[in-house]
Order: sequence, then structure tokens, then C-alpha cells
Amino acid sequence: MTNVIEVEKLNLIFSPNTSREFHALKNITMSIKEGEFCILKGVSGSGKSTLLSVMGALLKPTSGKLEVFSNPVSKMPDFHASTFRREHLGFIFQNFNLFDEFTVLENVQTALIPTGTSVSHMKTRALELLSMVNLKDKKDTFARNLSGGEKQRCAIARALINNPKLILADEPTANLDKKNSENVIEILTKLNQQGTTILVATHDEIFEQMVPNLNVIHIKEGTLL
Amino acid sequence: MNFFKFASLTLVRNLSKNIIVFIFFTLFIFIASSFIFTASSLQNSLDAELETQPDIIVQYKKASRNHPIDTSIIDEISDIPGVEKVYERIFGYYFFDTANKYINVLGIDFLDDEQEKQIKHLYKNFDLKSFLQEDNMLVSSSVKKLLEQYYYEKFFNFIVEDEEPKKVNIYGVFDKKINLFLNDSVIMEMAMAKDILGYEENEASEIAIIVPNKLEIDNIVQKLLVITPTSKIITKNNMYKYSHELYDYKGGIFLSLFITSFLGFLVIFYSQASSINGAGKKQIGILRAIGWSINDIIKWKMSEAVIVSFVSFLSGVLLSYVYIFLFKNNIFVSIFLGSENVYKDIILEPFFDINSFVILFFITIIPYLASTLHPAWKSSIADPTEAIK
Amino acid sequence: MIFSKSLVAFLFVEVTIGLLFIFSFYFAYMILTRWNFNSPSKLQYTLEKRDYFVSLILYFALSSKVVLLPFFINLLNSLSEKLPGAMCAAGVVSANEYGQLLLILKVVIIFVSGTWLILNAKDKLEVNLPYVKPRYYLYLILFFLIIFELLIEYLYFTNISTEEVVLCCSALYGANSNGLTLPFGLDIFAVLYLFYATWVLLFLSYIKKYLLINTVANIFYLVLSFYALTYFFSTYVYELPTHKCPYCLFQKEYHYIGYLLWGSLIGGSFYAIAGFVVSKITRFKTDYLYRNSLVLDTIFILACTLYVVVYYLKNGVFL
Ligand SMILES: Nc1ncnc2c1ncn2[C@@H]1O[C@H](COP(=O)(O)OP(=O)(O)OP(=O)(O)O)[C@@H](O)[C@H]1O
Ligand SMILES: [Mg+2]
Repeated sequence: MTNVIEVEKLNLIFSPNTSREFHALKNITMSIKEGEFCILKGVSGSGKSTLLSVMGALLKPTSGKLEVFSNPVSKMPDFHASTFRREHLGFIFQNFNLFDEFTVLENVQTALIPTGTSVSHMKTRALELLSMVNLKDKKDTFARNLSGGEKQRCAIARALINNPKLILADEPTANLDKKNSENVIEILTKLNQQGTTILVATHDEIFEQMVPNLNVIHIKEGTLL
Repeated sequence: MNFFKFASLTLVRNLSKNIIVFIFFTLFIFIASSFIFTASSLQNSLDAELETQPDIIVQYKKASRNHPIDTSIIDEISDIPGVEKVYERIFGYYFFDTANKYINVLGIDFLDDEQEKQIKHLYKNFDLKSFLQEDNMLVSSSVKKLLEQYYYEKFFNFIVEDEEPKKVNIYGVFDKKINLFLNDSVIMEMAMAKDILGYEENEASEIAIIVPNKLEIDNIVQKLLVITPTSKIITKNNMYKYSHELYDYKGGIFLSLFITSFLGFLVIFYSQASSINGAGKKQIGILRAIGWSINDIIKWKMSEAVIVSFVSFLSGVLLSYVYIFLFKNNIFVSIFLGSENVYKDIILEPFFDINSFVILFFITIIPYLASTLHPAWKSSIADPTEAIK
Repeated sequence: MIFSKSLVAFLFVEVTIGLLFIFSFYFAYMILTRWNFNSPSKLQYTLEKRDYFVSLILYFALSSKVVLLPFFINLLNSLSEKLPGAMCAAGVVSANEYGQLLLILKVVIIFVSGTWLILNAKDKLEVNLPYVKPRYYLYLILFFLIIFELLIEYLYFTNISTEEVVLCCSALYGANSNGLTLPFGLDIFAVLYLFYATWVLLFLSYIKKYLLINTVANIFYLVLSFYALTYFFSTYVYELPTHKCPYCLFQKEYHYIGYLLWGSLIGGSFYAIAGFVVSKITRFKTDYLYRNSLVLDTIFILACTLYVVVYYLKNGVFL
């Protein structure tokens, strides 16, 4: 099976050559295969979010090689990095990151705006995903009025709208109760079974309990164990 | 959804944050647009008024002030080939002492077709015979109001130097709507006007010449210079040019003031727009994470600016249209006509001068958009990892 | 010094654009001197972001300049009211030695900034931004053009006297003009013949994809069109054999046809030149630019010819 993500000797230093210099990722070498369900485990401050950001081309590494779907992500200029994110990646966040003043439907559609998709297609596609995450009847509700679980399902719908083959999730269950966490993991598992590669940064035990064939990667102080 | 739709949603849903800019922008447009409407409407009325004026006017100036001109040259001028008609004109300000106001007295030769024509449309059912039987005058509605304040209901006593006060009956009132520039005027028989304004019988304020063939005008001016070398000769073209220059000049001054204060607004706006708060940064981080590029963020921000500026522009122009043309006594008229002599009772003729609004567009929307470029770019490059923190 | 509302507004916008350029110059200079795409340094990352600011300013400047050009022409026409002797913009442009230069500068600036933006779009499609250097050398040229234009604008408007009598268009282009005449001693029929022949050459070189020939032909076409329009076609627009003028076309009496004619002509040349420059610098195909060029050139020639044909049909004779 091909590697979706390939990392080799990746280093990231914040504010190099200053008194605030901080070596956040140290010599990381790893790879994730297509169709894998991985979790990245480590204590707070160990560098999980930072690693996800680098993989999502939101942050440029200081040195090392990083390829996602064979794209040299770390070297791509903004236009390509954004297109790459849009076409290949779906981001899910700990605190949902919805636009409170937008409705559920509008939130989901925002990810399609740069593609120039037609209005009607945009709407059908958004509704399709909302029904998949069981949120269709809330489509006109403002995001601020949703419950935590609903918010996260809306965010998942938004992440999926461009049909990404890789999902990067940063502690997606940290702000949810048990039932909602299970719900989110069920959705992720289902996607994984359909072939989507999933990488979740978390310290929630629930993943290990629920997901079969889970690949666990440990990270500590910026180094993989 | 596209960038415009998205931008309009972010604007509307955060209305409380954006409303201040919108209100100020609209206010600026309102002021400038009111000024333009007033100026161009006045200019337009003035042009229409000039249209009815004679082709050439001959005046006698002393120290650049208008002096009575000797009417004996009229016959000589009539003999110039190409001249159809020559007549004298009488006008001047009469100082109404008690009220401390000036009244413009116009003398008309009612037996002359040309001059009578100009008066006819001012007053319906004008009966020349009964008018000329006694000492009568026509007054504008504003003058009528003024006289009534001092209990002159039926007549008015003009104080004339070395003579008994001259009692003139108010024959009728002409409508101010018909002629803006006669707003402070009274119209009477020529001899009487001469008497009141202190002219000798062989004197006039100016001499008017009608020339049917406009191509002859330059020639005739040359000949007039021979007949009366000391006189000032004004052609209709001069009058147009002069009036346009005056308005353009006042307009230019206003414009400079306007631009200066608008720049002040922009500086404040710029400093406000270029400081993005935490929530704003987060919002941009999220968009970047879900696949928006730097350019996409710029497009969104610029769409917001375009919407704000166009909506403000349209509402400012619309509001000022209503204010200027549907309400009496707007304050902008006094900027142009001065406030002392206007009897402030003016409704302007609606007139829309596209060029002025193109100008307004350029001096407001372009600088506004220019001042949003840097803030838009600055927010677009906000740290995209904000979303993950 | 001449004064009008339109002029104040016009200069104000021009100065605004000039200031934006000065504002962006430091960024551009840094990019030009410090750019190193392969460096992972923070500086390089910052420069990549600044590139967006410079392109944003150029985009804004070009759009403003494009809408400002017809406004400028209109301004010149309206200033003719204030200059003794002038009937249209022709007299105002020739009021001093800077007028012609200013007009040419304006067109050149639109050409350069348009080309820059096309290059920029192509650059962003590449994964390593390979055209940054040529883009920023072009930016330097543009920067100096903009500053030079401001200077010429200042000189031009401060040196217009409202007292001195200027020439009207019939004196400049008319029968007994002592100003411009046809070049190389050609007569008008030779110019017309060349004009139509050049269009055929444009068409053929487009079909055959001889891009260099097409670009050169476009430049010829621009020059020939100026003479053909001024000395021949304009008389059919005015329906007067003696009225020859490239500027009166912009007036209301002639349905503002000048904007279409000159707009299509300048646009046509722009696309051909931009197409050539872009195809030399980048690896992208520029056929669509040449197609736009041909379409605009064809609109121009059709509109001109139509005036003659319609006149003939209406009156049964040529002028
Ligand atoms: N922009 C930055 N500048 C300097 N240091 C940073 C920056 N961003 C993160 N760090 C540091 O990098 C380390 C890793 O941060 P990161 O957010 O990846 O941790 P994490 O594993 O996601 O922790 P948590 O579980 O709390 O989310 C932290 O010590 C943090 O302080
Ligand atoms: Mg984290």
C-alpha cells in the first residue's frame, strides 16, 4: 500500500536564533499508509498540534522532508498549499471552529467558495453531507445555537465537502461528552472504512476502545517514541 | 455562495461592528452629493436663464463697478449690419432701509415685444393695459412676504433722493418657481425704475443687442469697440464661460476641503481596519485551514470594502437627492448664493449631472478601496495556525 | 495653471495610486534583492507574503488606471471649453509639449501593468514561483513609469495657459495643417491599403501561429490605425470631409464611439504584446491572448468599415 504521508528528519524550530528559540519538532521520521486510522498521542505541549499544522501545510518546517500524497507540501507556495488543503485534506478541530454568526448550511458551504462551484451544486453537496452527519433538519440554525455534538458534526460535514482523502483532526472529542464522542468516532470509522486515511491528535482513551486496527503513534517533547 | 455573497453575510451578521464606518461614509457622500446637486441645479437654471439673455451686452464700468451708460449710442449700434435689435436695460438694488435688505428693481419697457415676452411667462393673465394705467409693479413671492412683514400689503413707498417717496402699487405676485434668479426682484415700468434707481432719462444700466446670426457676433463686437472704446462688451458665450468658471471654482474649493476631511476619515478607518483582533485572526485561520488561499482572503476582504463603499455611496446620493430637491431652504443654497440677499425660499429644480457623480465616485470610492488594500492583505497573511491553537 | 473639479479629482486619484506604488516599493525592492525560493528562512516566507501585497496594489492600480483613462479623455475634452481656440481634446493635448507624451505614457503603463498581472497569474500556477525575478524587474520599470507619469502630469497641467490661444483639431489634422501629416509621404489610399493588408497578415499569422509576426504586425496595425482613423475613417464618423480628428470621436455628438474604437484598438495591441512577452518568459501557451487580440482588432476594423459602408448606403457617394 502507498504512503499517504511521508516524513523524514523533520525539524521545526520556533523563532530560531532568538532568546525565544524553541525546538518543537525534533528529527521526526514516520509514514502513514493509505486507509490507516492513526492517533497521535502525547501530553499537552508535546507537539501534536504543531505536527498536524505542518502536515496540513499551515506551518513551514525548518528542515526535513515532508510529502503528502507525494506533494512536497513544505515547499509549496501559498496558492498550491491552499489548493492542496482544499482538495486533499479535511481539518477537524478541538473547539469546532464554526462561524457562530453563520447557519449550519452556510458554514458547510464556506469551504467550497474558493472553488467557484455553482450555487446549486454547492447547496446539494452541502445538504448531502449534512444528511450524512444527521444534521439536515438543523441546516438553518445558527451555529452558535447548536450543542457541542452538533457543532462537531457540522464541522465534520464542512471538512468532508471537498471529498478529502486524508482527515487531520486535532483533539476532536476533547470538548464533547461520551455519547457525542462515540458519535464522532463512529462517523470517522465509517469514513475510514470507505478508504479515507485518518490522523487524530488526541489523548482520549476512547479511540483505543472503539477503533479496530488503530495505529498509535506516541510523541513526547517533539520526538516520536 | 461566492465571495460577494460571503462578504455580504459577514457584513450583515456583524452589523454592529460595521455600522459606524457605513454611517460615516454615507454622511460624507451625503454632504458632497448635496453640494453637487445644489451646484449643478443652480448652474442648470442659470444656463436656462442665460439662454433668454440678449446676445451681446454693453456696459460702462468705472473702477470695475457698473455705471450708468449713455443711451445715445443706441442708434449708432442699430446701424451696424447684422444687428436686429438694440434696447436699454435697467436694474439695480434698492436698499430697503427698515428691513435692512436689498430689493432688486427691474425696469422693463412693456411696449417692447422682446422685453414683454420675458415677463409674460412670469405672470398669468397679465393685462398690460390696466397695469400701465397706474404706478404698478410685479413682485416675487419672497419680496411680497418681506413687504407684508412691514405692513405694505397693497403698495410700497420707495424713498427717492431729493423727492417725495414714490408710491407704487403691488399689482401681482409672480411665482418664484418660474425663475430662481428673480427671487429678490420687483418688476416695473422702465421710466419709474430709472426714477427710483436714480438714473437720468438718457441713462441705462446696460445696452442689450440681439444678433440673429451667431457667426456675426465677433464682427459686431469689433465694431462696437470702435463706437464705444471704453465700454465693457459681454457676449453670451462670455457669460456662459464666466458662470461655469465661477461654479467650477467654488466646486474646486469645496472639493479640496472635502478631500481633506475625507482623508481624515480614511486615516481613522485605516488604523481601525489594520488592527485585527483575536477573533478576526481566528476566523482567518479557520478559512485558511479549510482551503482558502491568501488571495481568497483578499478577495473576501475587498468584496466587503466594495459592498460597504457602494451601498454607502448609493444611500448617500439618494438621501441627498431627497433632501435637496424635496425640501425647501436647504443650507447648501446659501453656500452658493450667499445668505444676506437671498430670501431663502428656494426649491431647486431636480437636475442630475453625471460627470459630478463620476468625480464623487473617484474621490471617495477609490481612496476608500485604496485604504483597505493594506489591511486586507495584512489580515490575509495572519498566522494560519490560529485555528489549531 | 488650469483648474476644474474633474482635474482635482483626477490628480487626486493619480497621486493616490502613486503613493501606493511608493508604499509597495520597499517590499518590491526586498523581493528583488533577497529572494531565494529554496531557503526555508522566515525572511523568504515573509517575502512570499509580500509578493501578494505588491500584486494586490498592481491589480488595484491597473483597474483604476483603466477606468481613469476614459475619464482623462473626457477631462481633456471638457478643458477645451476653457482654452481659447480649442474645440476638443486635440487642442488641449497640444497646448504644450507634454500632452502627447502623457497620453502615450498612460497607454504604456496600462500595457506594462496588464502584462505584469498576467505574468503574476502564471507565476502562481508554478510550484516554485520561477518568474519572480522578471516580474520584479518589470515592476521596477513600471514604478519608474508611474513616477515619471506623475511628473509629466504635473508639468503638463501647470503649463497650460488659459490665455494663450491653442490650435483646434482642424488646424492640427485638417487640410492645411502644419502639424501632423501622413508618414513617409504616403497618401491616404496607401495607408488604407496597408491598414487592411496588415489586418489580413494579423489573421493569417494568428491561424499559422507565427506569434512574433503577429506581435510585430499588431504594432504596425496600431500605428496605421491611428492614421487611417484620423485622416480617413473619422471623416465618415463626422460626415464631413474636412473634419479630421482623433479626439472629437469621444464626444457625445458621435455617440462616444471613440471609446469603442480606441478601446478595441489599444486592447488588441495590448493582448498581442502581452502574449508575446508572456510566451517568452513563461512556459505557458498564450494563444488565448492572441485570440483576444485578434477579436479586438477585428472589432476595430469592422466598426471603421461599417461607418464608410453605412455612409455610402445612405448617401450613395463617398466623401
Ligand atoms: N508559535 C509558537 N511559538 C513558540 N512556541 C510555540 C508556538 N506554537 C507552539 N509552541 C510551543 O510548541 C509546543 C508544542 O505545542 P502544540 O500546540 O503542538 O502542543 P500539543 O501537543 O498540541 O498540546 P495540547 O495537547 O495542549 O494541545 C508547546 O510547548 C508550545 O508552547
Ligand atoms: Mg494541541
